[in-house]
Amino acid sequence: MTKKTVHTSFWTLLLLYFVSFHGIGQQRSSYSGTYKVGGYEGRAAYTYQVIGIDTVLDGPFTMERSNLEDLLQKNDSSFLFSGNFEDGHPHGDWLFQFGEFYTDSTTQVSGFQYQVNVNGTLKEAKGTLKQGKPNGTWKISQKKIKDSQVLDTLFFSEVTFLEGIPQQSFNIGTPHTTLIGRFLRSGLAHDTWSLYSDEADAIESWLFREGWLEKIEWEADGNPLSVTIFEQPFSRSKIIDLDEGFSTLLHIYAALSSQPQLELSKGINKLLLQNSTSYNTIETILSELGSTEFLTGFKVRAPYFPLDSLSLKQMDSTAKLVNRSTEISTSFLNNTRLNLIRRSDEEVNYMYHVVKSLDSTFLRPLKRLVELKELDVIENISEEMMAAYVFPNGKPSTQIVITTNTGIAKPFSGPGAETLHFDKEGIEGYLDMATYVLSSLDEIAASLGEKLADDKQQQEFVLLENQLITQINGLNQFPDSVRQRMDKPALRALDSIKSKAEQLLSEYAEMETNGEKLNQARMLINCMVHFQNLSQEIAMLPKNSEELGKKYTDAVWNPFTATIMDETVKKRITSSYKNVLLPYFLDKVESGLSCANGEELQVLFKDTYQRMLELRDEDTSKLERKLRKERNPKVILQLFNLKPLVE
Amino acid sequence: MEQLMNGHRKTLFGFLFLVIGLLSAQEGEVLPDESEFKDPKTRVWFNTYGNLRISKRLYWDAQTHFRFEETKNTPFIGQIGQVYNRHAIGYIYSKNINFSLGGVLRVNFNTDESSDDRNVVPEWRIWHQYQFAQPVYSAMFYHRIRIEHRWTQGFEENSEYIFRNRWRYMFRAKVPLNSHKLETGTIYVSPEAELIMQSGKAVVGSVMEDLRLTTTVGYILTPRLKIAGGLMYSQGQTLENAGVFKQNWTMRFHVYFSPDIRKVKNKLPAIHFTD
Repeated sequence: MTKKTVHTSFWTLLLLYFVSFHGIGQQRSSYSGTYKVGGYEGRAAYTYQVIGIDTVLDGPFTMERSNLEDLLQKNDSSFLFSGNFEDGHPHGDWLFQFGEFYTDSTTQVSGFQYQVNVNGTLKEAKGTLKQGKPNGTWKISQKKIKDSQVLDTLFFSEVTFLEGIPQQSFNIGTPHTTLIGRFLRSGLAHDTWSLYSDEADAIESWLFREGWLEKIEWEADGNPLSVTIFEQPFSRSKIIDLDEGFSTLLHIYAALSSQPQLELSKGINKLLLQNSTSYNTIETILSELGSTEFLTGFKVRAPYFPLDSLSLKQMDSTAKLVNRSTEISTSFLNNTRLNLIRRSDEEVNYMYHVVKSLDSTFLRPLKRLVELKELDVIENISEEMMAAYVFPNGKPSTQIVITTNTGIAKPFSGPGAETLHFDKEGIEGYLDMATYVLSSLDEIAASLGEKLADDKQQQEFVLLENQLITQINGLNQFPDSVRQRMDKPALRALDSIKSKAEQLLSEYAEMETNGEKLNQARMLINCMVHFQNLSQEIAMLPKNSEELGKKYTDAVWNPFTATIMDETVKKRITSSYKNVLLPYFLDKVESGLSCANGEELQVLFKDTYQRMLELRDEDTSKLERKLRKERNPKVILQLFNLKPLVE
Repeated sequence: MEQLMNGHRKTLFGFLFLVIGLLSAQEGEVLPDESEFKDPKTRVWFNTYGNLRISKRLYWDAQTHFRFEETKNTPFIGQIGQVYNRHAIGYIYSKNINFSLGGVLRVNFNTDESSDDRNVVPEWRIWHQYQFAQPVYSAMFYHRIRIEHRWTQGFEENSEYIFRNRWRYMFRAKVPLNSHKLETGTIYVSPEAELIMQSGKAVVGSVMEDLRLTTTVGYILTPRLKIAGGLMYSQGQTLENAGVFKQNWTMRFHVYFSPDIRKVKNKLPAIHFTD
């Protein structure tokens, strides 16, 4: 190959590569069918591209669900998401609707359509996204629907964004109040945010200065009140989101101040939280579909007490230990069997109370700490505030005094109680506590486990015996339920199965409670199953005999009457079955039934019937000759090619 | 053949006589002014009827009858008069129609105690039969046409065979009494009427050989075995003199059996003739 041809082919390949890549890049597929996103399941239709191993949404997207049957029966949770994606980012106009409807079943026919009256609520979010971020005005509302008409707007929020950053002013409201506020260009809260009611002017105001919440003013019983949240000057501050985390900070800071207490569960705080929850709902949906950042973008400043990397690691470990401990303690405290045993076992009762105490003394407070971490505001409070917030009554010691419900007070010390000191500075003290609680719980779990295992045997007895009682009741009722259609020998056999079962059960009842008895219970259950099957097999006899009657009947043309007559054929076989084998089997049931042969008898009944069905179609002239004078059931069984009973 | 044709003509002739009431007499005999009816005789018949299936459509019809008639010394049950062997191959055309063709050897015993003639003479027949059955509600009606060609001779030494044709039609019903159809365990009542006409050179005027009115009661033991018993009144012109009628009261006892001697594999299905 010359150098020139190598050169040419290289360019050709390169060209081909780009052409094909371009081709692949442009290839969009569409999907239409069921789809699931963040707990919502419905029908979706969208277009996408496959890039590498990823499916990237690109183009229009709709997903919805509504169910008329649900609506008519009870209520229907419907939803509709509709918008557009561009290269994996939600982009363009979007609409989200969530309906909770029920109907009074009033229908109207309009044109060729049935219209059903609905009542309920409709949550709606509408706006534009740019590369995954809200852009332009977003309107969120929650409307009350009555008779398919909007009755009232329960909640509304209107925020204008510029690439995810809230701009200028916003308003959030309820039917009777409206919150109005404004931002700096950076999205930082600024100036006075006021909540207006219908009749009065501002009923609550938050005064911001470049993100700092300086003061909250409100009225209580006509008196103007105010509180400064972040009172002292803080050396460092940090811009954070105005969300649940900030709300928690407000709680912590307000609680520590000696000033009048604002009710944070209503008013501005409540509206802001409701708004941010709505944004979170949409964020959850969109982030599963593509890359997005759908947040309110409301920013505020908060004091900042940075933790070093070691403390942050310790905090992570603490969170893990607390979560693990919570699982253990919850499983014990909610264990119904443990709850039962502790009533009769003092030791178990004590341990139960230790768990309860560890839960209330350590775990609940530590969970508040973990919550701060999860809300990402753990660095916005000082160490002292943290301690005061997590343990308002001071940190507990390793030794806790347990007072049980029976009045016994006994101190409890977990593993390593002597060497541990919880008053260490920083997060380490909390980590020690979490470690201590988990090791204590593990120790208790080990000894409670033994207790529960002992009880397990008892439980097993209860279960097995319940089952035995159910079985014996079934056996006792069985003969009566079929009495009418049975003949006497079969009934006698059924009755003797019943009394044999009773006898076995009373023998079992007299046994000493131990492992042997447990085995016996298992064995008896098995035995009763065979007895039940045997009873059922015997109850089938009238039906079987009717079937055999039909099977062994042949239609014969009689030349003297020129009619067709039913003729019983192979009478020697049917007679051997009816007059020798069945009485023999029933007699065996009546006189020699045991757990050992219950199954064998049942199988023999079944197999013999099956064999009878087969014999009808076989050439049996030889067999019939041999059966002529045969009255011995064992010989007949052999002639029938059946396995005789083991005696 | 000519004989047969002759017979036919004679039958027609005989019918005309009957219809217009003109009775001619056997040669040498003079017709009485009024019909004479002999005193009824009593007879007892023991009949066995066998139908042996030999193939899907064919069966062997085997009948043996023992007929007793009263004599002076043994009234009522009497002496054996005839032993009767009737055999044929039957063809089952359908469930309701069958045909048969066969022969009869009847052995006639001389019951005339005062006679010096032969005691036993044979009688030969060729017979064919066409039977039609018809279900009517729970009962069955049957129409039977039987034609016999018979050669008989008297008890006298060296007597010649005479040839006659017999034309028989029988209507019979079987009505179940204790069941909704004829099946195992059924008792049934069976009224029947049979007219036997005859023709032949020897038959001069006596064309109505026998009119039999019978009622029997039967019991179906199994589809393959029936028994029946009944009483028959019969009358007919004597061959000797068309103006003289014989009469009989006959007790009849029947056993009907129909074994299937085919191999098992050929029996099934037993009844689907037209498959």
